[in-house]
Amino acid sequence: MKKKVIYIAIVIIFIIALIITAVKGLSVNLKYAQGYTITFTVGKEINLNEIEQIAKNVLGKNELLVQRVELFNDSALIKTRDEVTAEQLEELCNKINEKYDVELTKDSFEMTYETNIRLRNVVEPYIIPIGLSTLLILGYYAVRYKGAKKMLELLKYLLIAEGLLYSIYAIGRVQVNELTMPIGLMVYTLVIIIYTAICESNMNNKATKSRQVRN
Amino acid sequence: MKAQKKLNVVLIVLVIILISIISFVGIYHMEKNQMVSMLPNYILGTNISGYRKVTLELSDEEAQIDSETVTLGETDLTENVTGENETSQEEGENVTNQSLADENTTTNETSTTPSVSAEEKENYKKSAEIIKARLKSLEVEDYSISVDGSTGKIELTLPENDQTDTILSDIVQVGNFSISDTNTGEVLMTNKDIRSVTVEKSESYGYTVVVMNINFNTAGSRKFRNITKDYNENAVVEETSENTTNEQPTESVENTTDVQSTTTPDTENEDIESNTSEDSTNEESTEDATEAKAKTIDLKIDDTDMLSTGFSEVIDNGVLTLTLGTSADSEEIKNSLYGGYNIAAILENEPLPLTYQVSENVYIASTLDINDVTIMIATLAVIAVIISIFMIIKFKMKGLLSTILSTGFVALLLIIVRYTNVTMSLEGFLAVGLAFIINTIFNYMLFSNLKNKNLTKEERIAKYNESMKKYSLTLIPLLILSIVCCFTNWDTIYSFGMVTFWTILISLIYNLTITNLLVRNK
Repeated sequence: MKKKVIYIAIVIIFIIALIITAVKGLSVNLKYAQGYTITFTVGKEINLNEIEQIAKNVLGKNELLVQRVELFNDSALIKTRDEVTAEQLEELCNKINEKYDVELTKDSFEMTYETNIRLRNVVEPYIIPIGLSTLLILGYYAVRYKGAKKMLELLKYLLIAEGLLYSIYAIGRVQVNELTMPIGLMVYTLVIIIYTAICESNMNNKATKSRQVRN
Repeated sequence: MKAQKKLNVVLIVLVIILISIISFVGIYHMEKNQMVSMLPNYILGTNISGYRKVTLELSDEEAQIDSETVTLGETDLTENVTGENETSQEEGENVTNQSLADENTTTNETSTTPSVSAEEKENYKKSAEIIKARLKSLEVEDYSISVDGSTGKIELTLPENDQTDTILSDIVQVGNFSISDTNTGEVLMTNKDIRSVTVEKSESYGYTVVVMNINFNTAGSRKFRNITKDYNENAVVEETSENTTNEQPTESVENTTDVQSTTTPDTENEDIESNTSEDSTNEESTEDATEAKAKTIDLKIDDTDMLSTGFSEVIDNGVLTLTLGTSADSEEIKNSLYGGYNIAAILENEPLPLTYQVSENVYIASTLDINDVTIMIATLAVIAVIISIFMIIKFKMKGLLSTILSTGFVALLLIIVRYTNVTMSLEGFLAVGLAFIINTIFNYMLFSNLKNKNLTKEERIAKYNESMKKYSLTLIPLLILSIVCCFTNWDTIYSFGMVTFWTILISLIYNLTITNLLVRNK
């Protein structure tokens, strides 16, 4: 009965997550989202934290992504979700000039529109290795535990664990970022390891008990 | 005896602590007035170190598919694509080139949503798909690609390594492959005739020869066999002067057509006819003379002549072998190989429906800076501390021992991954955290079995063996996962696979030696 309630709750959570995804989509961080990139070269060694601070002051509360460009540590890019106005760019240029004592002109800043990276493309490379591993592991389960019961249970727990992770991202509006897929991979591996350890322990206990009965 | 055992335990613990210090803190020596670590540095993966960001925009050129394709009856396609290119180029400029110099117009330009036909969008998508396919052929997995549906602009991120520039030098090639008659320009074979392309190297008299094998499909093999038959070194084409042509035009065409056995005789006749008359008009000499010229073919990629040759024998295995380079210098061989792989990737896939050019090519440091990595490591450390506290609460002194053992294991793993040059991506670092958990699982199994304090030495060893067997079997699914991941070309998954593989191997050795010694001396 208790199990049933848990499963129903999980299914409801999944449905809510799917509805939210269908309606609003998943929330993604700036690296994956579409936005505007301003690239510039200062010509002096820059501190990304300082650039970020300047950009935050100029662009307000906009979500920002500041990255180093090239290896000389004198270029950077600022990515924002919203378009940057001409006045804001002017102010940004002035503040950077002031901070680093340089004379950058408006032409030194290049703003480009960047399209979003489709999450399908982020997930795609994982599909073959994880799919193949899952098939092989399920095959091993069928042989090792003689039948489909444990195999199906593992599959069930994998789906529940990954589904819950997905639901956290969808319902909690947690931003999908570079850590999302590695975390998903960790969850997948942990479920397999822990469930296999439990199965081995149970099998071992059964064997010990049957030995004791025989003795 | 008891004191000796205690001393052994203390010694083992000290060895573990020493390994941990070496791994986490490092060992340094003075070199040129600088403290230099004696341990190799971690090789960081793309998602930690950085990547190459490339922007591809539609080229100014209008032609994407050369006239040879038209000859093969694809006139409609060529016309459509050319038309799209013009429109897209204009739109691309409107949306993307927003320099500060044009600050007054920037807002207006960006807010404009260009109307793009479904067919244009389809071509943009197709171009991105072909670039993806080329990268896959080049075994580049660690990339991301996005395409702007309104401008056709493609943004590509690639891992930064010694192959990146070579890949980028050819990635925007349209990739129209053709084998055509040198004299008439008639297209005899195209991309459609290719099944696969392989690049190989072989040693010969101290030199390395890099060759490319173009394997044709069934129809292509048949065409190629006919070409090698018709264009053998002894075959000649009769090239006639103006007078001769005027007097006997039909004869000239007939002769040429007889030599060539092709699939489109009507088109050929027209081509050859016009070609012959053009040549004849340009002739300065008006003498009645017939010049014999060897029949050869031109191998072209995007109208660039790669090779002009005839054939000494009939090739009926459907493989055209080309020598890309011969050298004894490893750098030159590497360049020839990389160049060959690039051509192979282009030929194996469809030609791009649109012409692109690289508009931006920069190295971008990872969005994950050192602070993020520190936060990630700190988070893993916190998880490890929580697990350790749980173990200490559950097993008391044995729990503390478990923490020491798992820490020592992780320390040893980190040393090994540095010496084995494993690329550490985010997944790799998380796999290290996973390694701690995996070893703790073994400790949990072991100390659960050893909970009874009144066990004899033999019983303890038996319990240890039982735990070890259980643990080894638990690791099998993980071993399957790690092996599959190790065979992946993608940097991040490969890194995860390698770290997991070393985790399994070291964990077994570590627990068979150090943990075993501790159990025996308890």
